[in-house]
Amino acid sequence: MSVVLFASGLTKSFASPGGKIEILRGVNLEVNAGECVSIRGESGAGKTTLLQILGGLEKPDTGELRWNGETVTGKGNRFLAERRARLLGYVFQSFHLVPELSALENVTLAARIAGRPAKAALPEAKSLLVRVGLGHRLDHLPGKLSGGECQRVAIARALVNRPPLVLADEPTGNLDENTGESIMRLLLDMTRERGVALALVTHSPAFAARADRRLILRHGELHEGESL
Amino acid sequence: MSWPLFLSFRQLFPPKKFPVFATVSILGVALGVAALLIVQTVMNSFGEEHRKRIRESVGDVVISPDFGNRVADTPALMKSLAALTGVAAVAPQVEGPVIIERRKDDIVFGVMRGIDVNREGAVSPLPSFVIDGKFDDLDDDRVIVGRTLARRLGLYTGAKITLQSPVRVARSLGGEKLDLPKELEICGLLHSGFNDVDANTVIVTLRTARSMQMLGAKDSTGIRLKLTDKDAAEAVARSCAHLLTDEISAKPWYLFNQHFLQAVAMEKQMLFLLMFIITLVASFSIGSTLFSHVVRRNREIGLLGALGAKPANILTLYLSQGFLVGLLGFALGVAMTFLVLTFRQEIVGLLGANDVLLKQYKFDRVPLYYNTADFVKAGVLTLGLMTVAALLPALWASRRKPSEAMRDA
Repeated sequence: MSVVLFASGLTKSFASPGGKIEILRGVNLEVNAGECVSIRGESGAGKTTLLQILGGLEKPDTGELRWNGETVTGKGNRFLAERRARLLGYVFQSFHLVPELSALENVTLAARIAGRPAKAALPEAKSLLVRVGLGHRLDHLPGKLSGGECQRVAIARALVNRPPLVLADEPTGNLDENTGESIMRLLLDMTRERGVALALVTHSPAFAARADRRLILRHGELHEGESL
Repeated sequence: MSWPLFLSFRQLFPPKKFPVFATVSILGVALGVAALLIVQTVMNSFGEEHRKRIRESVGDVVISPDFGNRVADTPALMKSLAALTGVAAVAPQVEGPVIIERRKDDIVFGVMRGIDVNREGAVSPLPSFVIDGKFDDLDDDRVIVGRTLARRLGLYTGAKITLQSPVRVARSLGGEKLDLPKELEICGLLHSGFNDVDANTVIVTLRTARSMQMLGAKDSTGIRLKLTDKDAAEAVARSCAHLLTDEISAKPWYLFNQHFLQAVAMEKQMLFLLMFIITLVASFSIGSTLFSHVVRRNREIGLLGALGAKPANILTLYLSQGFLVGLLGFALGVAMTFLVLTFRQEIVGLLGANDVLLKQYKFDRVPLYYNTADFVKAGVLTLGLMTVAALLPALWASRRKPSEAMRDA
């Protein structure tokens, strides 16, 4: 089985008035194609920082990162942006939809950024929105959608470029229990249907338990396990 | 359309929402552009109209004496001049001061111009300026009077006036016995639209004028040339030199009233500078508005980076917003310019400036000549300034790290 995400010896620290704070101390991680990996940790443990480093949004102090077998550490912004558009999908806690674009345009925007013509991406974007249950709200602006619906749009957006890996940062953090449950089910189902690997950062032990592999971020290191 | 341009347009004009930022910015640019173009067009029109009137009045090239008051043997010289390359037509004239008498003790001073009725139409549009009568009716017993002058003296077509020249008065005072001045019937009024002409001029035949100026049958005070190419005035004037005596010279039309034309051109340049500064200030203000607009979109900048947008894409996104504001502002400004200038006469009337127009600029209507170069200059200036105004916020946005942008949002 191919490794879509490989991280070895990742470290990250931030300067603070009280001295250097080490957030990550040699994180190692491999995610295989189609695999779902959950990452839990206490607040401030560095989960979001880790996800940002895994997604190339933040640079590690040391260590190596590979996407689909290609080393991306030490590469320039242009290279990272081009690979990110093609190889990664993102789902954020706060949805992060462009408020001036409709649900459909938000999804096709990700395809256009990846270099696909809007017309070519349209059928897939529509079918994804139908799949997430928003076939009747294609032209609605984010302001007219509920939180759960916005997150559904974000899931469709993350998958429109058929990336081998989706990174999800607390995707249910801003949703009520029932909506969170349906969104998590949708995210897991859709990534599994498409054979997409999922790195899921979550606080919820119940959601984490549904992953193929459960990891805990503790004292800047990743450990296999379920209890914090 | 590339996605940065598409998103740029959407951010400026969000659907189902009034585009406050775009409206205010575009209006600001449009007002600046309109002010610049209106001032430039009006100044340009004044200059152009003056040039046109001078050419119509004096001809493309004028042969006149530098010393003395006459061009002797005018017919022979006219024949030689007509044979020159680039000369379309020639016509003689006799010009000089005149005393116009409506009734006894009701006199004014004016300018008399004697013309060859058969040739005048070939060198100037004067025949077409005659109203309330016919140019063709002009003969040795008739006169055409400037419309404003006629109004001042209570004259009308059919009325009679007496013309006397200072030359004849001087001769009489010297003891010479001369005929009494002839009474002439007004056969039309002259409405050239140039107040200096309409308020002072009387047109008579060449013979009448010669008699008034005490000139010989072949004498004139000048010969006017109409050219096939108006821009060749200087070259044709030079080529006339070998036909002329030392006392007579050929002058291109633009040497007449050249200080006034230079003053108009200078005025236009100064106003351009002033308007440019106003537009510059507007662009700073729009740049600052655009900056706050970009800062408010911090989260989206981060998102676009996370989705794979390159820094150049983000730069294009916000730079194009400045360009779009400039482009739409310029288009609206041009439309406003056309609208205002269409109603220019009414606006001048509302401002009560008709008298100033007449007295200062000698026009009875605001002239209008659009100069494409003024519009191109304003367009390049506006688009350039607006794009530069957007450069700082666009650079700031393109250099944001996605992770920081999303965290700061």
